[in-house]
Amino acid sequence: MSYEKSFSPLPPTRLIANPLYQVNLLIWMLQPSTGAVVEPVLQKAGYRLFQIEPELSLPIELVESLQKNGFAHSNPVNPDLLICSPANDYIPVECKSRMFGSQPQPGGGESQIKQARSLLLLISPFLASALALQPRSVASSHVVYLAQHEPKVAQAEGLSNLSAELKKSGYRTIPFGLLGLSVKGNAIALRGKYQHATLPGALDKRLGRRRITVQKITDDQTDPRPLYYLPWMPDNPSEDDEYGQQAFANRILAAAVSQIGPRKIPCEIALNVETLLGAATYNLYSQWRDKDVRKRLQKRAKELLKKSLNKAVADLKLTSLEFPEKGWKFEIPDQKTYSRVIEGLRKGEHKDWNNPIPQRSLFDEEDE
Amino acid sequence: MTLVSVKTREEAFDLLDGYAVERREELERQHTRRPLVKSYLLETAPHGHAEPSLETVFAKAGCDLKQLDDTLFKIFDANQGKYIGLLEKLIQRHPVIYTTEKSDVMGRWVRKLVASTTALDHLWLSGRAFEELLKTIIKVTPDQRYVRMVFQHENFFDVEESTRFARHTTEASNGDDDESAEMDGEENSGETFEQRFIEESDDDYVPERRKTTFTLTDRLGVIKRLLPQMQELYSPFYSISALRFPAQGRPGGHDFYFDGKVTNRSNSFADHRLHLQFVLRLYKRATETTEQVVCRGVERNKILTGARQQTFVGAPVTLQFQEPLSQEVFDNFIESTFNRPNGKFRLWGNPIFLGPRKAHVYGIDRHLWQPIFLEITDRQIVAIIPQGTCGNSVHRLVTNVQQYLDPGVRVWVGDTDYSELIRTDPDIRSIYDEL
Repeated sequence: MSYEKSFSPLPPTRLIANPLYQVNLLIWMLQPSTGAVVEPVLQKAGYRLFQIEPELSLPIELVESLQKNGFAHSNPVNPDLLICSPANDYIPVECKSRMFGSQPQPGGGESQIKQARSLLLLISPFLASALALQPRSVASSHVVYLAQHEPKVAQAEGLSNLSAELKKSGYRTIPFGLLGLSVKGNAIALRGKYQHATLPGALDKRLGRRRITVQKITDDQTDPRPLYYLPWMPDNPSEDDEYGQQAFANRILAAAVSQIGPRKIPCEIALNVETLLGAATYNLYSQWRDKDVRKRLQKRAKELLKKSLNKAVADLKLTSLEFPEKGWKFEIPDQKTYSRVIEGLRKGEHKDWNNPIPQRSLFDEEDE
Repeated sequence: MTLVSVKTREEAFDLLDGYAVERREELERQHTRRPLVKSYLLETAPHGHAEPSLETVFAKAGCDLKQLDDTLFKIFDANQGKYIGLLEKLIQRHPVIYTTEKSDVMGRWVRKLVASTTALDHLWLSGRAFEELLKTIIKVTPDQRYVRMVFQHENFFDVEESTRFARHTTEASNGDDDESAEMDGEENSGETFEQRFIEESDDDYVPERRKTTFTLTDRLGVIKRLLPQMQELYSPFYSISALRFPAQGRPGGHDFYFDGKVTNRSNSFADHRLHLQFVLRLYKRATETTEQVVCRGVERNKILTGARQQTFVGAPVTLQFQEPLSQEVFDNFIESTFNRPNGKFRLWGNPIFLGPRKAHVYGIDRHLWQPIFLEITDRQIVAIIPQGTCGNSVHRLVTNVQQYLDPGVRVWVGDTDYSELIRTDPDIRSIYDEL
């Protein structure tokens, strides 16, 4: 068998700026492991994963005050992860390709600033309320960003300025820290000492002024990324990431096979794409508020299944599930069809399956 | 008395006990006239999940369970029109079949039963698990008792010497067809454990690649002293496929095989059952600890995604090879496991290659049709077992890797050495916790 590249690997210097990679790297850093794939820096510092993409609402009085004083903000605010320590120190973590300034730049940046303001305002009682916990259950809160390390830029200055502005107007803000990823020789390294920024105590103690290797780069032919716990994030442009697209497609197809595999033949199969998308994303899909993104995913997943099934068994009669369910139903009459369906889904036609749909067709086309 | 007339637990176990005594006497005369008592250890739903109805599971396989008491049943096979054994829910999650049928017949029958449902799986005792059981045997058994061990490893994914030679000497690769046929080998071919390990006859085809089949019977004291040295010299000695647990205070013992079959070679069924209980309790604890770590069991570390509470995938299982796999072995392993319908590991998935010797598979464990995610490199296999997938998958993966890829593979569940999970706990409280 000759090795064929499944996709064009990203050079490590670009990979470390990919938020989907960054989130998965963080989840790996939180898992107890031997460190053979990713050094579990956060787990060794005592942190564990509490929530993924939590939806954190600010208190109504605070929102009213921010509006009155002209501070644009996000409400609710959704950091990528929420982690916590045994001492109930809670840390919202946000991944960014690049850090940002305190003023919007040409081409965008406003949403990042609004998000950062809201995260900085999540003092422990507010965070406890947002999580529906008792105030004493959250001992402290501290926001941390993860981004590509850029030595020539004062990366935490924007956060510092935003915090200072809020404080000047009488608001209380929480401390913030920055974790930077860099490629050094044959390794992807993590550091945490940045001007203006302070990491939470346990993490600061673990990292200190050091640069810790979190992943080794085997060679220049091999993409270093680990298995993805999360194959997709709503705001990550998956069309730029061939690996993410393939991993996500394979997860959807595997979810379909786990439904078909144990069935007795003959049988009728009903594949609900919302169920499959939920299984493939740990239900992140079901809570994503952007209906356009959800609609696109449903449509794309349905097409993915159709193409894969039709390629496997040309005369397989696919019927749309009855509204409001979305997906396909079909019959498997015999062992031969069963085997071909299972194999067809394995070799799913997933190239570019999740690229954006032109706006017109997204809203105009009827479900097949 | 026969199984047909058995109406109570006492009668059932008297039957098996009496049968065991007769066979033991025959064994001592070096001639058994009828098959020995055998047990088949099975596994059901993961901890925290509802256990399947065994009546329903067996009914789907064409069998009727006749209840004797709360946990003991006679198994009537409608296809054969006869009782073929007893089923006992010996401990939670682990039903056991007792039978006096022939080994090859019953081996096929149990494999067919397991293949017919996702509610049952075999017990998978890896070489690493057997090593820990041997440590217990050493602690509780006098040095002069005899222990029997079988070591079995075949570097199944290595290219045969003849193929390599043909490739070097001619441009044509005529050996590929033969190799493919070998790689495609049916897992459920119906051959018994014993048949697999008999010596090939002169007329048989013997593949030219590393293959070890070795039976060692010696006094425990000798094994205790020499085995670590033998393992150091030759790694297939880590791939223990069967182990005799000497009976307590009586001759003979209980032969545990890697796939959960146990043959009673003692004169006591009660002693046999006692040993089954011991191994099952160890196994169950190891499986549940594995599930807690790798699947973030339902009791701990619940993760919220948005407003929805759910458990989240947990720590990886790492199987680290002693030496990097060659490019050929790596390629053959991927090809044989995922691109052929009857791969040894029964995995489904489409590998995503991240480099010449690195692939990711977001796939399915075809034993249970549950997700399993794998990173396969020349140095290790890393598995992520999503919630709902049974910890038994880990035992099966370790067993298969030791038998077919690397006999000395080291395994960690999260950051814990896999062997530690199987180790007996000397804490006196643990004796009662397990009850």
